Amino acid sequence: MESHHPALRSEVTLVELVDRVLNKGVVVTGDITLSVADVDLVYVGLRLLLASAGTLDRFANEAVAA
Amino acid sequence: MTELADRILSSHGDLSAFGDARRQRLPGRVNADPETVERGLAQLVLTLIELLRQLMERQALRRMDEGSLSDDEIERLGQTFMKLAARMDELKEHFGLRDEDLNLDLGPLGSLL
Amino acid sequence: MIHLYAFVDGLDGLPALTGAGGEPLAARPLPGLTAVVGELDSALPATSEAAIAHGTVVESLCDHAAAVLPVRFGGSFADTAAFHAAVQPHVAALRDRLTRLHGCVEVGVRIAVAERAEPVPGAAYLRRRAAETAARAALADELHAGVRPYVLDRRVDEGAPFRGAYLVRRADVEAFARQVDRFARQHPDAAVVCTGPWAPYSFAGRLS
Repeated sequence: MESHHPALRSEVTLVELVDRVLNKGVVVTGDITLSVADVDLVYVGLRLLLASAGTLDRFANEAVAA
Repeated sequence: MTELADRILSSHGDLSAFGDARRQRLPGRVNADPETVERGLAQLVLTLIELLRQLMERQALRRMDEGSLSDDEIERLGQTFMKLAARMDELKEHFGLRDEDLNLDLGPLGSLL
Repeated sequence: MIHLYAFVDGLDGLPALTGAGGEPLAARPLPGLTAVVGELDSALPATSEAAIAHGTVVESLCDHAAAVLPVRFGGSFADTAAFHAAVQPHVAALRDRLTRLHGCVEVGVRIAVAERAEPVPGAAYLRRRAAETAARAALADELHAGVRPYVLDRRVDEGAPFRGAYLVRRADVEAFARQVDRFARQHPDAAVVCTGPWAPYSFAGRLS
């Protein structure tokens, strides 16, 4: 795709934004978490993933249909 | 507010390297929800594998520089790393993961990769 | 449920936007700073759309506040009591962070160099990897030398592709971008993109 195509520029910008929003920024949690840094982050990440567990059914159905 | 589309301050060359891997490589899944549990677990697992791959490769390069590997060992290690990298690319493509997705923020320790 | 967008200082008013769940934005005063939140019935879905909406709110806050400390997506609390319990212990650290981020924005640079993937003998593969690693480090050094006058802090991932986040004074963003132009013209084989200004996500730090 030509590098100055507006759709690609928008896409690159959104990738930059979403990367920051999901992976950077300060984390404040009121839940009890373990104090080791990496486990803490895995906990936050898994919480986010598990919150969207409902979509797994749709994904599984898509996979079966394909 | 500066519109999001205008946040490119400078660009040179083909920007598709910085686009959304999912849209580029999996055209049939443009609207797929990126945060399924399966994809998230794949992300964690592949991140760890990528970490190990980088550590091992770095070690191999160091020993190659030192001259402490035989020609045969260098050849076999190189082949193994190449196959592993190819397999990782396949798995990343399957789950719609970019290189940047294979990273974990360890807080004060910085990023994993 | 309280969804947290950012901590700010010197807020002159809320932007004319709804939150990521279509809810009205609210400013919750704390000692020496303000939290910008939204009240929702349930947690936001973890989708790109919700993340983009969250990010849009944070970016618009940059036009309404002297300092913005972005909160990562996913920061939500059951109720006001839970929110205060979680935030209260960190107020001093948050104030300190905001002071350091006053008038600063983040600029991102990504560099991609075409890496050959054709199968070669194992030894040649390893040598190629060593050369690519060294080349990336050299590119990073060159970029950093050029932008040094404008960079207050940086976070760098020297992998493939290279990604750098730079803390820059708002007034220096344009000059930073011109340096990236200069760098890119020296390396026509590389794809280079510089984006921004962003709220300083990469310099928000951690709360212990």
